[in-house]
Amino acid sequence: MNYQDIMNTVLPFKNKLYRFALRLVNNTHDAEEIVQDLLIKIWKKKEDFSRIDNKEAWCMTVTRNLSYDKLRKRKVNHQEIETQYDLKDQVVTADIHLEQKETLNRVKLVIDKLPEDLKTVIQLRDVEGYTYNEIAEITNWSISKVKVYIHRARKTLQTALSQIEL
Amino acid sequence: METKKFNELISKYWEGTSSLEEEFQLRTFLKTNKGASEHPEEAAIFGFFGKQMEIESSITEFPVEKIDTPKVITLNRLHFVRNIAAALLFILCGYFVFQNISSPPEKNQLAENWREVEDPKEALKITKEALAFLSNKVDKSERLLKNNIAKLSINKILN
Repeated sequence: MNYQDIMNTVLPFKNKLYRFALRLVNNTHDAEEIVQDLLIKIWKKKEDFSRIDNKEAWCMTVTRNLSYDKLRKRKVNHQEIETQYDLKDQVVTADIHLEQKETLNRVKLVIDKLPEDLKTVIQLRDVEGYTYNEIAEITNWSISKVKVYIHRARKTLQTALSQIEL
Repeated sequence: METKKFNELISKYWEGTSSLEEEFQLRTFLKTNKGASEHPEEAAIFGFFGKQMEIESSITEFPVEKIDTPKVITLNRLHFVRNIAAALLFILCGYFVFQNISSPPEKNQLAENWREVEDPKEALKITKEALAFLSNKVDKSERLLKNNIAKLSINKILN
């Protein structure tokens, strides 16, 4: 597997990887670094990588692990979150009204407060649209555990959203 | 989408039992003006997910500079110095132990020195001194022994 093969394989889902990392670490710089680390990992193990059947799921799993490592290091170092991503900067364009921006930021704050496992399933299911089987493969959980977590995440989200003014 | 149908789908969604297709239907409906005005809470959350999907990474190629640069192994300096000090100490101890074992016994050196004395007068003098030293030691030991025996006898009588 050469450089171009890897690029052709990984680049189509690099945004998914980035968004997943961003959801977990909540920092644009760290999320970019995680994707870069993943690419380096693939390059160093390109022979093994070429033998993996579901490369996208494998990449998502590694992204998840790297994100957790980053979070652990951050906890140890008491690192300040300097460049937390903000919807205003990242996604909301000028044509969206201020009210809508605020609403989206409120939703983001609610999701940010969810435990990491629940954030993971919300991101994989509701943003990326993975099936239960795919989420189970990425997270190494059983399908029933995935279902339980999705149920729990949505219930928590529903309760939290009903308590804030949207 | 009719209200009844929407309620059914959204209820399944919150329970975590909706399919991907049903979630797509909800997403599409909540994007419409009707959906957003009638169900602002759900529209907000699905709107958030929609905006999340638009986020893109700026990475377009492999971080070649990171791949080509050999990984620098950083060591804890204090730890490193401690290990070096321990290794040096171990080597020094080993060296002294080796020196001690390999050096000839002191007894042999004395014997060699003894043979080197060739002058009979000096030899007689050394012998006398040695005998006087020995005699003194024996006398002292004898007296000590006698005293101890005497004490032992008194103790026995007292008991």
